[in-house]
Amino acid sequence: MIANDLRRMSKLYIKALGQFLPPPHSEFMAETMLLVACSKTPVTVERLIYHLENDKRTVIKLLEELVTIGYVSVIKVSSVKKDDQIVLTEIGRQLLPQIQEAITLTEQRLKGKFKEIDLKAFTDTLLRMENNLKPY
Amino acid sequence: MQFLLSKKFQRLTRLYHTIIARDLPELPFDNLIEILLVIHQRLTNNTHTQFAEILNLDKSRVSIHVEYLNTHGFTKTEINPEDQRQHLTFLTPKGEAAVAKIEEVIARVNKVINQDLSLVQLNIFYTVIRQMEHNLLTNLD
Repeated sequence: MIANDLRRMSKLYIKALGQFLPPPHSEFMAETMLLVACSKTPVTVERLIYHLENDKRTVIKLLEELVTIGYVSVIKVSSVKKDDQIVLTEIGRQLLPQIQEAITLTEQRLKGKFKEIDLKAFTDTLLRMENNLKPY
Repeated sequence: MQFLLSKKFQRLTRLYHTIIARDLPELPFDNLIEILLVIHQRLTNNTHTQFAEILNLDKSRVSIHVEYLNTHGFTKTEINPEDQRQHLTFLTPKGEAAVAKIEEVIARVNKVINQDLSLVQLNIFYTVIRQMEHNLLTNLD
């Protein structure tokens, strides 16, 4: 099944990325930090759950971890948890270049000496496969 | 904003499994399907440890899945007479029938996923994915 190949690749990618990322070395941390840093509008917990494509409990736990280690802080805007807004702390902002660098290094490692044309063919095929399955 | 490549892989994996699972409601988790296929293809002696290695899963998770398959009559697990520490899992007739259906569904979904893609494109895709895997594996601790 192609899904097995993709899942294995995904796990390997995450493991490789974790070697370069600052603690807690998780891809969820990297995605959260990048989303908050790049977003032009406030990132709420609800938006983060949607972005990470994960369940609420897992995302809240991750968020609490990031708050504890001082990368982000949470601003309460209503009594509803999902409306809480996430902002980067000074420590979190300082980590952004390291996170970007970690992604770049991982992708360099992943791509190795591939020709650009083959990589483009690969990503085009990946996209085509996704589009083929979507209507079903 | 930079998106992680793993995200693209995960999205396609999820999509693929969602479609397969729709046609196999009696097997609600993709790992159940994979374990049945591994047993059917006789890739191992069918111990939990070997399933965990092949499928890259925790042994505890494999145990939960095998328990599910046994309880629902797809497999049966017996103690290996040659090594009492090992538990071997086999397909039951219900499991054999499920594998036939799984293969039929996978063939159908593969046809859909490969729609409008030439053999050359697919060859490049699989060559690149194998090489990427090799690139990552050789550099991992």
